[in-house]
Amino acid sequence: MKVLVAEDDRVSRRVLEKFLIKWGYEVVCCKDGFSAWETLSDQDFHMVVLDWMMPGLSGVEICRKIRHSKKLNNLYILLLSGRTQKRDMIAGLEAGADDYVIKPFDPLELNSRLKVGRRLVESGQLLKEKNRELEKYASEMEALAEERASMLVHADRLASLGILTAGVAHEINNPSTFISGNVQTLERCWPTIEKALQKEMALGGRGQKKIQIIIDEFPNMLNGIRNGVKRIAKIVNGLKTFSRMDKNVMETVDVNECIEQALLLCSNRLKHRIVVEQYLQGELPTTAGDIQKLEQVLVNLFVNAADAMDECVLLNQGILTIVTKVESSWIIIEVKDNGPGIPEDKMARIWQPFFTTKDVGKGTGLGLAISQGIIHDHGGKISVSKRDNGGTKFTIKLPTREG
Amino acid sequence: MSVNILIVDDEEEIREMLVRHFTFLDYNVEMAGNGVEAIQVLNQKRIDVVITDILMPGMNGVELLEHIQNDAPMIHTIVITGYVTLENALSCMRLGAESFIFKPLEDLSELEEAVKKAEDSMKTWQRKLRELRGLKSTRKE
Repeated sequence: MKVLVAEDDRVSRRVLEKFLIKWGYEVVCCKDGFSAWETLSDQDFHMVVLDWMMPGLSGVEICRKIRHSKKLNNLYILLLSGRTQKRDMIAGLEAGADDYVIKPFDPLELNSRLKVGRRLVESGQLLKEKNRELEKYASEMEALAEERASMLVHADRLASLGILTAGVAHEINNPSTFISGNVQTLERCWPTIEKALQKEMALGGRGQKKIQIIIDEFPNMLNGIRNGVKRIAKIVNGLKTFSRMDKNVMETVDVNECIEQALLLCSNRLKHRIVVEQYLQGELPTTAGDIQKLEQVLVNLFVNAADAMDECVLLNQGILTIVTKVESSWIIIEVKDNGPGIPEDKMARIWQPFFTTKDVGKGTGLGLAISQGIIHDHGGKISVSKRDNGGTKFTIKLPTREG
Repeated sequence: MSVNILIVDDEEEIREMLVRHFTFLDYNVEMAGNGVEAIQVLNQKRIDVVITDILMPGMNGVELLEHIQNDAPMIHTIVITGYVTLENALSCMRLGAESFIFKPLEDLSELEEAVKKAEDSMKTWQRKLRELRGLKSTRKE
């Protein structure tokens, strides 16, 4: 416990210092008000013993200054004074002193009074510490609550998005049905129409050029419509998968086998352009899951990686690295590419439905959102990180069947 | 003898598209916007094949299949739907639907084949029945 003693009388000062040291206090002495105030501002003290009458600043003035200072406000002040009048004592206490001892002081009394101060200071410290802990706890709780809230909002958004997409998917299905159907009927009609047009052509006349264009281009137009409908159907299917709430069929899945199967499924996309390196741990434990859905996730990651590496295929050979390993009760699958990597500002958004960096029409922006949903359904986690040497690493954690 | 098809779908554009398509393929085609309308048509005309949607206002496709199974079991039924659930598929199967085809009908030939199969089976039976009548008449003589 550190105490400042401010006393202009040399003898009193020495006596006070001696007693305080004897009682176990760390003592700093000052011989006038100004130096006392300066020392207080420079160092940290727990208690201060002030003489009322001092050159420069008086003890009472220091009391007021202390109470007005934010930093020193907690200091315990014991005012020493030769003034014995009750009103003086009141004035001292009013100025901010915590205690008032009349000089000449009785050492035993001073000791007891300092002990009172010490107890107060200690309990004040304890309180402060508790307060700090509470504050820390409160801010932690607040952060947690905020995180939960944002998770809930996200989940809620996803849920309503699920309902919405299911609805949208169904609504879009009807128009694409009659576009698709009509165009197929038109395709059947086309030979008849073409024959008639050819006859018209044979007759000669002015409209020939236009008729020729129709004969040449009509099949292309039909094709354009069909391709459009096909693409819509693909998106709608993605939406349906995304919004599907059905339970997965949980069977025993060998992850390595799953990877092999997925590679086979997208071999067309990978071959010639990309080298696949596999570091698969032998005798991997199995996981419980829906093998088709897990394959879907892997195919999605592989194709994404291939797309990313296509962008810089001129610079270096695209290498898709696949790693499997076990960490405690988790099976880890790493899918790494050496493409240009995902820009920092887009990292957080890649899981959002409809977010895509691919060209319009090339990606639906649903792949990773669906993948994340599937991995969560399996009780697993999927995360993304930047590789040190450029490129992207996706990590999937799946619980082992035993674990 | 030509085949009479009834197309049941609440979406007018789909209904008309299918009518056009099957008319073009030389079938006689009728249409209805829901189950109730479909039953009215069934009561008035001879229908061989019913192509029906599932989700429709009024009376849905599953109920229509049930009605057909009870009242006119010789009619062949084909279901087209965008609302694909296992439950729907199973109940349609139990109610005697011969095909279950998903919208958006990216390839109409699947539907055409289903109709063709129904037509073949119908014609086979008609031939058998004719033969049977022939047998009877020869027996009488």
